[in-house]
Amino acid sequence: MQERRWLLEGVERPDADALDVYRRNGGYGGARWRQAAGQDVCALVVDVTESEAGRFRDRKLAERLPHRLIEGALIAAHALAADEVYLCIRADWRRARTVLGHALGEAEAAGWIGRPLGRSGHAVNFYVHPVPGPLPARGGDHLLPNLIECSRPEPRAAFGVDALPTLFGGSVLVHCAATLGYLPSILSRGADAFRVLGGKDFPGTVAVSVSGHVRRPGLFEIEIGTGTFGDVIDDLAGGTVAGGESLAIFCDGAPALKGEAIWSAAVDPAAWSHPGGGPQMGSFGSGTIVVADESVAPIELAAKWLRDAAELSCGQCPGCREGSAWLAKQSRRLRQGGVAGVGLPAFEARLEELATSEADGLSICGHPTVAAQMTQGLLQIAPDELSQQAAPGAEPCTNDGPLRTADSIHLRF
Amino acid sequence: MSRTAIAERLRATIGESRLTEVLQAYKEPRGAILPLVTLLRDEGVDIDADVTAWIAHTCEVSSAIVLGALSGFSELGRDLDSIVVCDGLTCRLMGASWVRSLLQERLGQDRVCTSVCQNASSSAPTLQVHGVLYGGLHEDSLHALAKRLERPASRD
Repeated sequence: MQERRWLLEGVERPDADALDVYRRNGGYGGARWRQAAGQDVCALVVDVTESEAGRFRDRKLAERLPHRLIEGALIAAHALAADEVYLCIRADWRRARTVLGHALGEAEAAGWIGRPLGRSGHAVNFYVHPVPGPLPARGGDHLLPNLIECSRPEPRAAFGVDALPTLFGGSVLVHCAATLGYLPSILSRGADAFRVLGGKDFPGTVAVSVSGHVRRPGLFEIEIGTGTFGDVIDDLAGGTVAGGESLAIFCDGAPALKGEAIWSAAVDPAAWSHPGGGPQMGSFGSGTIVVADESVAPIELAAKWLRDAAELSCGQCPGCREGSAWLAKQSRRLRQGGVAGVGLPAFEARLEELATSEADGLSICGHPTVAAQMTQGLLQIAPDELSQQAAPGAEPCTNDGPLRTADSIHLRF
Repeated sequence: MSRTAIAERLRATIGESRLTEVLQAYKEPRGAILPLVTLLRDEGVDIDADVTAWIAHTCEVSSAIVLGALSGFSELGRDLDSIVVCDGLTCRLMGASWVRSLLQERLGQDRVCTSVCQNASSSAPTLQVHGVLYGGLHEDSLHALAKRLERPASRD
């Protein structure tokens, strides 16, 4: 019990330690840890499904550092006194599933899982739960338990704001894979060593997924607060492929940035309005960034984004079901150009309605909010383009360009 | 083929120990529906009515529950032989439409389909065949891949 309390303090103590890591990464952790600490948690559900476009950190973690993920999950399960860990991973990531399966076999053979561990004598069993895709983005922490119970891929409405999700009647903690990966080093080296890196409120490092029109796309783990997204693109990702003003798209709901604005956007959650309350408008999210050169039309990207959002909507909330389908249809017509009947005020109003649906209590998950905010961000980049496309005689716009391949692919942990 | 024969074939495909392990992982057997579907698809088994009935029987639910659960996943509606081109944001920027057109031209419309982001964006454009991810595609490698896939599909 003493051992467990130490672990819980290590990951939960709000004044100094790793709680910030969870909060910062926008995962389901943070406040959930404190709730879970006071309850009888039967299982830990680890989210390795990466439902956001352009992000590949969890997939790479499962493929490249599976032992770190297992160790982090084992520490968390031990701290919560949970008997089971479900690693929910996308079924179509066959390589990641195989690697994780091998690593679990090794951990079992070494006596780390499935047998009593330490003085507590607590045994933790691990299971890989494959999840066919695709899933709604930001489905919340009630989605995966619902999937394990084998319902449809639909988020579940919580019984209360503070209620932990349930699985077969027992409470569970749902956690991001990437943030669990930090646990082994935090506990082995101490929280102070971790806090040496990064800023005061948001310590440590962040894994940034960079892809698109850059020379060396990849996953880069960088110290928080040590630069801007422009530096990441230029120094780590080798710079943009073509000259001109680039477009940076953040797939977590932050507004897209263009040109110089990318170079002033800090890789620091404290500088963003969410979660740090900083001057940079938007959500820092998980640090996913897709770079596009100036040949790309934002309206085309917005149309594609809305189409995907409509396809992935589970259909439970009327606003999301009807709104995303309507917006996808209208944006397709706008993209085609010169089509009469697309009312821009109605389009923008519907977009705003969707963007605030989660906050207004009109949807049970963040899927419509992310889709709408992302689209609003893209359209803000080129406000004139929207009205031009709605005007009679406008040409269809398309980004279906030629095949491009990056110079090389980088992974730096 | 009789129900018993189908059950034996599927049990042999998955393996008794693996089947027991999957069923024991969940407090209620219905939790094993998706893992069983995935295991069978990994082994190249199509999820038809007979297989659905066996999964339902094994997981102690009705076939309607299994069908209802599976209908929520577009991925499970694809043929095992499909070539799935990623149509995520990054892949689209890197020429996914071009990849899809080329493969459809070489291999036929029906065999090529698209998916939302496959979360391997650093290797964009990407595609998956038989669970294997192909990334960093360029024109030559695509033609070579198309040539390989023109042969009758074989699972190696």
